[in-house]
Amino acid sequence: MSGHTTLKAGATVVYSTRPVGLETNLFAQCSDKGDSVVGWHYELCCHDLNKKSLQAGQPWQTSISSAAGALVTVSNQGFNDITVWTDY
Amino acid sequence: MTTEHEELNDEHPAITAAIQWAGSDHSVDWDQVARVGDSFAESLSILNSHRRRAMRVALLEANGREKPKGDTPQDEDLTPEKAAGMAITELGQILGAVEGRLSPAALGFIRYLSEHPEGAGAMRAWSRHVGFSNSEITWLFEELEKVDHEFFRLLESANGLDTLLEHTYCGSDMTKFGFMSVEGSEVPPALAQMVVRFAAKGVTPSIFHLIPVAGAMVYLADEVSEHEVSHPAFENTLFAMISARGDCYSTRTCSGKILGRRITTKTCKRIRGKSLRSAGVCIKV
Repeated sequence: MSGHTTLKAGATVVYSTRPVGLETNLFAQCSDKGDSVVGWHYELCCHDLNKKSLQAGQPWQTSISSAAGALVTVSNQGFNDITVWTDY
Repeated sequence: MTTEHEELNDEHPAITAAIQWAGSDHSVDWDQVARVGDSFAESLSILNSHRRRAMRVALLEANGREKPKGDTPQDEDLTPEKAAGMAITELGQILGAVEGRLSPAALGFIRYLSEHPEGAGAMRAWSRHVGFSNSEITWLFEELEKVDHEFFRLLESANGLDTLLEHTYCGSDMTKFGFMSVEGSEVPPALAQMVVRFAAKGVTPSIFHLIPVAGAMVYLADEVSEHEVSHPAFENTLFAMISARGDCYSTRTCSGKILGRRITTKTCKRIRGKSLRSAGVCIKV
């Protein structure tokens, strides 16, 4: 499991993913101070930036398995802090 | 007073300046760049045919459809993985020869190939010839625009060329080829730094962003070295479109369009010494 990283507004962190056929999940937890938006992007051709709005204190997770070995950048697209990590 | 037509017959200043620079910079082994350029085009063509097929299969499978029957015949001597490794090595050799040496004129020529309509047209045609899809090429040009057509300069300023080449995926999953990958969960700090730097501009770093640089350097090498680049991908597209004389060349799709204006013996021989119609490019009108 990757270490937890707290992202300030506009900050980005890079994660690797497991190879094709294996699961990798991304987790996020919004700070209690207020809402924010987490963004994640597969570092491959022609992928859009995914975004998810989070309420204050809200935990959230999603699968990033389709990156299948490629890198994924996770960013704080909102104003309040977000703590992120993966299960790889 | 010059007419619009006569002005079109003038070589673009970016090309002239870059060739002058290449001819005067003897620290670059242009013979080596020209030799590697030929094999790079070949590796890229082979690799892209496998890569595009893998992309198609992945797309079909993702939509619950069957994998198409009949595998692409594989060259036992040059597997997709081997072609991928060769393409990365050759790209590294081309760029390594000029890394840290590119003059403003050279950078201007690279910009010409991704920004100027005619240069970008030549680059697009060459990219199609070595197997990239239209959507991939469009994506690439959009990416380059986001970094103001200075991907290589930004990469150089961050000492990122080695990092990029070292971490380019070239395994068995061809859909990932060309992009950054690491084995294990720990992303090396230098790689993370580079990816974040480009992510801030909305750009996904890959070796594909370096294709215009490689094309530009192979073109210059062909102009100033003893070794003549002869791969059909260059002759039929990039070189032909940049280097055509001040004559008018045309096909049904580019009727009456003047494609270029270089005036050198080497290019003159290339353009006039063969049937351009049979080469599938343009014919003199």
